[in-house]
Amino acid sequence: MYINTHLHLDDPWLKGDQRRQEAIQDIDRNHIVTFAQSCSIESYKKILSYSTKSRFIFPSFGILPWYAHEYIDRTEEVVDLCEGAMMLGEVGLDERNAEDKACIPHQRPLFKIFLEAAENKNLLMNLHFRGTEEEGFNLLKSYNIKKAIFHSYSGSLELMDQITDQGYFYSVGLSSLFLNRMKNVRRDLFVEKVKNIPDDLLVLEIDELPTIEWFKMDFEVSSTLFPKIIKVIAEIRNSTPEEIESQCHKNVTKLIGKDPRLKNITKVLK
Amino acid sequence: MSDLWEKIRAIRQSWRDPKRLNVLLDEWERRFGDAYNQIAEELVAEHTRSTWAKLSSQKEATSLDALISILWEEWTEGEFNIERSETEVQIFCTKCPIADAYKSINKENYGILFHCSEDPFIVKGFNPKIKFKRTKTLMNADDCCDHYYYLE
Repeated sequence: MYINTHLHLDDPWLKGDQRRQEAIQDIDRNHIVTFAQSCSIESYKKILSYSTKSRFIFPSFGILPWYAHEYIDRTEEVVDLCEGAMMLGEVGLDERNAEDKACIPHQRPLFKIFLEAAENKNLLMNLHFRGTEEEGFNLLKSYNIKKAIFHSYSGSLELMDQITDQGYFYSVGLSSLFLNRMKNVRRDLFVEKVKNIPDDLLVLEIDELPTIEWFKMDFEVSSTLFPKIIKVIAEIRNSTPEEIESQCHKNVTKLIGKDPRLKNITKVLK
Repeated sequence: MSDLWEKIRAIRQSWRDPKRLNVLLDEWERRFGDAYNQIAEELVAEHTRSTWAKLSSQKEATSLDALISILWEEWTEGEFNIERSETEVQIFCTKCPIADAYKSINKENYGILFHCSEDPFIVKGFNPKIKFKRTKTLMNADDCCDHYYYLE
């Protein structure tokens, strides 16, 4: 069973209703447990709607740090939506990739709202840190966050030791299919990081289904991407695809634990 | 599937058992609160629209007559009368067990949210050329629900 801990099903990541319908049908037909991420309140509403189409799609509430400045006057709404969310994501800190730098001063206050909610309700967090991994990690510890996934971890190898000691998870996925597009240094670092993730903290993700617009690749659905991703990760980690799939299944089961908010995920995990 | 949608489905299916309905609505308030009411309304609307679009397609029926037949004439639990012409149908419903259930637990606002709000979307899904108006609802303590369907 494939478990995708990070996928975007809404626009602009997945352009067009036809592709979306195909993506959702594929998830449903192939029983791919999918944590669908949102990047804004509007995106969350869409994700909630998509989650009614398959019992394998689980909505996550988050606002990408890039859009933090759009929520200055909507903090109460964000707090209220956190209250009812199954899990939180995609949230975090990212000054490096933010196109509109106006978001930067508002990223931390927004992220702290999510941290408070996660601390109070023991919610699972799906995290996006780019160039802010150490600060983000320290914030997680200071809020006593128990369940967190570092999505496409881009920090240093040294910091990984501390993250690992804290028991936070790492999700890896689609980037592994682009090794030949990476420059040597970046590729070596990516491989080192994937090798460095302990067996019991590794989970899988796709993030964005590839399209011509985003990756100059034909559109592909989760069920055909996963075997390719797992094969590359298995090669990097000197393992087998079966072992990787089975280990990730165990890890997600452990991550979910007995969280009553995530009981519907437990039900579909065989 | 989200626990939100699971809860909405459970609430919508529980009107025959007001005691259970009351428990579920209390849980709804605790677990989700007001912030999710508008989202619930949107989810119910979309679900209703797509369900009735599918039904219309399965039955290969899009006429006003077909809609009234499926929606009203096959419904045996309410009390209503139908006034019709070729292009319009006026319903006066004077008894609705769903409204009675929500009234019995003093939670009519949720009856509107989880049930009455779907009515325009039944029509939109079945045939967008059919229009719908309603000025009164039993759930809102009016003397009847005056569903009016017409072809533009």
